Amino acid sequence: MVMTKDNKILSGGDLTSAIEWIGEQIPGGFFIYRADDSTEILYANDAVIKIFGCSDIDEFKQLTGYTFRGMVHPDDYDEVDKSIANQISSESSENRDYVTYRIIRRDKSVRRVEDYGHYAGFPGYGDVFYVFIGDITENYLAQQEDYRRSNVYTATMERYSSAAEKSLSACIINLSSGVVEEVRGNDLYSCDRVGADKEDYYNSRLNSFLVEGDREQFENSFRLEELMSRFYKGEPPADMAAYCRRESGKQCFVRFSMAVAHNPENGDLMLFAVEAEYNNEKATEVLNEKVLVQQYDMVAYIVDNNYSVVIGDAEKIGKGSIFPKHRNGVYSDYIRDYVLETAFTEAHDIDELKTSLSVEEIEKNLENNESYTVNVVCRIDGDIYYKRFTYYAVDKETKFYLLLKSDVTDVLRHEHEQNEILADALKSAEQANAAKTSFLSNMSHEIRTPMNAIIGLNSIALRDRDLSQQTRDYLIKIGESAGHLLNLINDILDMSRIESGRMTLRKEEFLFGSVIEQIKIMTQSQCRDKGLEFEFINSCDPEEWYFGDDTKLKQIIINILSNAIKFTDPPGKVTFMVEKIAYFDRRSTIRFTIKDTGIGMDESFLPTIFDAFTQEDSSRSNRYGSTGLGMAITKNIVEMMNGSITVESKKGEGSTFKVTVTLKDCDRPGSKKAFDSNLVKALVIDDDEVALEHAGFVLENIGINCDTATSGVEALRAMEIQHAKHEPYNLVFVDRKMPDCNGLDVTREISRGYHDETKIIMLTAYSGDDVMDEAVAAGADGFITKSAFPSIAKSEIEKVMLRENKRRKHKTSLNGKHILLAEDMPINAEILKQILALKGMDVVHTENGREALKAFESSEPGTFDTILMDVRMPEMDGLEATVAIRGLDREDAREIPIIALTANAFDEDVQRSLQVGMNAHLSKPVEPNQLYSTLEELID
Amino acid sequence: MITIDGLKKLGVNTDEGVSRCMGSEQFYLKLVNMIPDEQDFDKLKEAADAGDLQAGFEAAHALKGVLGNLSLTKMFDKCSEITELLRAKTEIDYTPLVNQLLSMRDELKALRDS
Repeated sequence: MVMTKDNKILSGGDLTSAIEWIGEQIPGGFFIYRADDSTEILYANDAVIKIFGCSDIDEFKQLTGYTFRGMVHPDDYDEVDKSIANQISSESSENRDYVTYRIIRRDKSVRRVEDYGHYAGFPGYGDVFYVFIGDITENYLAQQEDYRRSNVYTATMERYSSAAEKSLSACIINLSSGVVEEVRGNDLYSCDRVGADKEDYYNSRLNSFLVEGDREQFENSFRLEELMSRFYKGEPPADMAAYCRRESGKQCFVRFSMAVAHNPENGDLMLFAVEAEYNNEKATEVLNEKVLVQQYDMVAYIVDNNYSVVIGDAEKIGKGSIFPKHRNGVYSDYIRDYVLETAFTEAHDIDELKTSLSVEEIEKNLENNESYTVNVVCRIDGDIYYKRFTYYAVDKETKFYLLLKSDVTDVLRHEHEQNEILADALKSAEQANAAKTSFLSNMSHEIRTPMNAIIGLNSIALRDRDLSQQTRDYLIKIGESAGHLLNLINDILDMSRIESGRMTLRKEEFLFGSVIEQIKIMTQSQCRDKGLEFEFINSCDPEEWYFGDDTKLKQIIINILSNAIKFTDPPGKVTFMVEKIAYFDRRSTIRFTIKDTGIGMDESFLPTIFDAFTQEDSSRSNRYGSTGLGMAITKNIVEMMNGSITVESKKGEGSTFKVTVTLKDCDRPGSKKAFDSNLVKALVIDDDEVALEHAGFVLENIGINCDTATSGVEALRAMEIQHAKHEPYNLVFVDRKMPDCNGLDVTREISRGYHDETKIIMLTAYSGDDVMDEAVAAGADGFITKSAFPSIAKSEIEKVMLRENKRRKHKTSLNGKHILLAEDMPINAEILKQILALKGMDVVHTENGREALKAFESSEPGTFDTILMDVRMPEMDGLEATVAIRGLDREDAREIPIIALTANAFDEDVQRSLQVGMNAHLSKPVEPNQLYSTLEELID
Repeated sequence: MITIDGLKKLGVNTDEGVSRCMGSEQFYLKLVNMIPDEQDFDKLKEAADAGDLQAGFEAAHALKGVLGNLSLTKMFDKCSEITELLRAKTEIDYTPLVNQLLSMRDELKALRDS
């Protein structure tokens, strides 16, 4: 006996069989399972078995394990269990619960069932649920679809409402009843009213189009089937844009947007139609399509190393295109297959280009920059194309980048043509100007020579004590005028050099302190002579070395200082101040301030002070002896130095000039130490014995021993000997003016023969850029005026000697070279063989000149690369052997280098060996390195 | 036996000599060992005795080169002195000078044979 919840008393056996009997009779699914954790099924009727797609109870048992849990889709069981538990505990009527869940049938198909269950205690069964189930899959899906459509309807309505707010017109038309149900908007047609016929709506729109084809497009885009299909697929509204004249007379681009949806309440089909003004959007669209397309042949975005083309049409792009075949793809593949593939290898290092175009590099460059551009030169079908890739960051966080690619070939070609035209024009203008400048320059140069005679003779004439006072006065005036004229000519020469661009700045190391010191000493004495006070303030380190043109720097400062002295009357004061005002990136900015208490200038004159031939009061020029070019030259040089010059002045109170230049620091390892004068082996060439003696004295004072030569010929002979001995002069002083040959010619000769090993300093009577240029052109490394020789010899020599030799000696590898050695002394031969073998040279040793000659004669031409020849040997000495070898009739006889080896180091011996045709002369004991370097130089 | 230390005691600039032999002491010593047997010493002696200045010069000159190569400094200096005198055909009695040189040679020989 079992008691049910509602206290009905049932007796066991009859009931179970009765229930099972009923179960077989009812058409729906019916089963009973235990209300405990086992959920064991106690009974299931045939309908249940069918619902699960099984043919008999055994298959059903196999499928479900004959438990309720086994019947429910595993994903749904928890929810079902919870729902059942909920419903039992609540006071629901008759303890009946309702759930739906999915099941998996025997054929794996998923179905949905509904489940009415009831909890009861049965005699014979215990506490159980008895359940009715039915397959509701089709109904369920239909219901879901209704639900979805109702959602779509709501969404469509919402979209419509928000779009309607700013619309020209917005209508909801009931297509089922054929009338307009709602109207909004600010530019309505007369037919846009509630209750109007839908046909009127359509017709009014069809008549508004002004552009051919738009009407057809409208009809096509908004066909009912099209709209319905969008509705079923849940797609957004159909739209189109067209230029229209509306009923109000307004003409504009209109964007039409239409969607249909079933009203879930009554099933009516509703059309939501919105029209909005589209001018701005249209303009942007055109801008994108037309303007961007014209500027860029491709606009794409890049995200995650994928690209997607936004704008660009491969078909519209002519030849030379690197447009990708697919509009979407992997960015690095595109770069590899289209860009790097065609990159012009003469213009690019491919690996470098690949890096530049990589996403990593784009990211790096766009971190702090608006845009990043890479120019690529491509070679496509034999033609060169220039492509420009410009990247922008759309969003840096998500690494979303925009790529604008353009072909700039035409632009660059056009630019190039323009440049050529400009260059031509410039060239002819320059030629015209050059002709003028060259005329001026030549004339001035020519005038200077007689001027020197006038000045010289004038000073000689003035030495005559018997002159009358009047004649003396005349002569003094002639001298002053001649001096002035010479200054003028020199300035004109400077100016013409500036204008013709021939004025160049030297880039040399110089000691700042020595430049300042020279300026100071000069100015000091001039001030003293004129009775002016001179103040000098320097806050710079005089021990610093800079790169630059110290001569020009001196010239501009002295120029301004002389002006200051010139225009200041005693008891005035001239101040010269030097300060370092900035230091950055190994560059020092130095300001020179030159201040005087002189006559000053009117403010109105200041703007023109740096123009050529301007002076505030031209009547003063004679009194002050100015050329009117000084400031112009000064300003030009300062500008060449990338410096600046400013002036402040007040009439009657004085002027202040400020020159600011930036000089590059120069590393001078050991620059503070004096250079080693012992390493200098000098030769002085001057026809004047006194001058030679003087030079010798000056050089000795700074620790340099020198040889002398009184003519170019003598000098060249001495140089040849020292060269052959491999103890060359490394410094030669050449007087510019010598009787037997011009100093410039000697310089040229020396430079041609010995530039690698010898520095040349030219000594001249007068200075000037043109003189200096001639010297440099002839091959001189430095330049000293004779008058300045004692004071600046040391610094100039130091400068020249420390300068790197630009030209390097020609060197050959000695490995595998074949050497013919003639040496009678076995020990010497052993040593030489050892030395030569160390560098991988093959040595054939002969014991005297005759054997050497024989060995050479019997060798194939070209066997030996060089001959090392002892001079003193039995049978036939080295000199004879050399003569014999040189006299042989074979191609290498005259060419093969022959190096003399001897214990004689006398010049006569060296000369003799050179005379017989040897190329060099080394003295014993042989220094291995000297031998190597000689061989390296002589062997081709 | 001639060793570097032994040569140093004789005032030889062995460092220079070895460096000219490309750093090989063995090679240097091998060459120095050959010096005492150098025939030009005897040639020089004979020429000096006979008053043959030309032959003397040639022998002295040849010796000078070898001695210089091996940095046998003292012998080299003495030999140079003799060479220059002979080059200038100076008519003097060369016996003392040559004997000085030969005694230095003998010193080396004694070292070698010891």
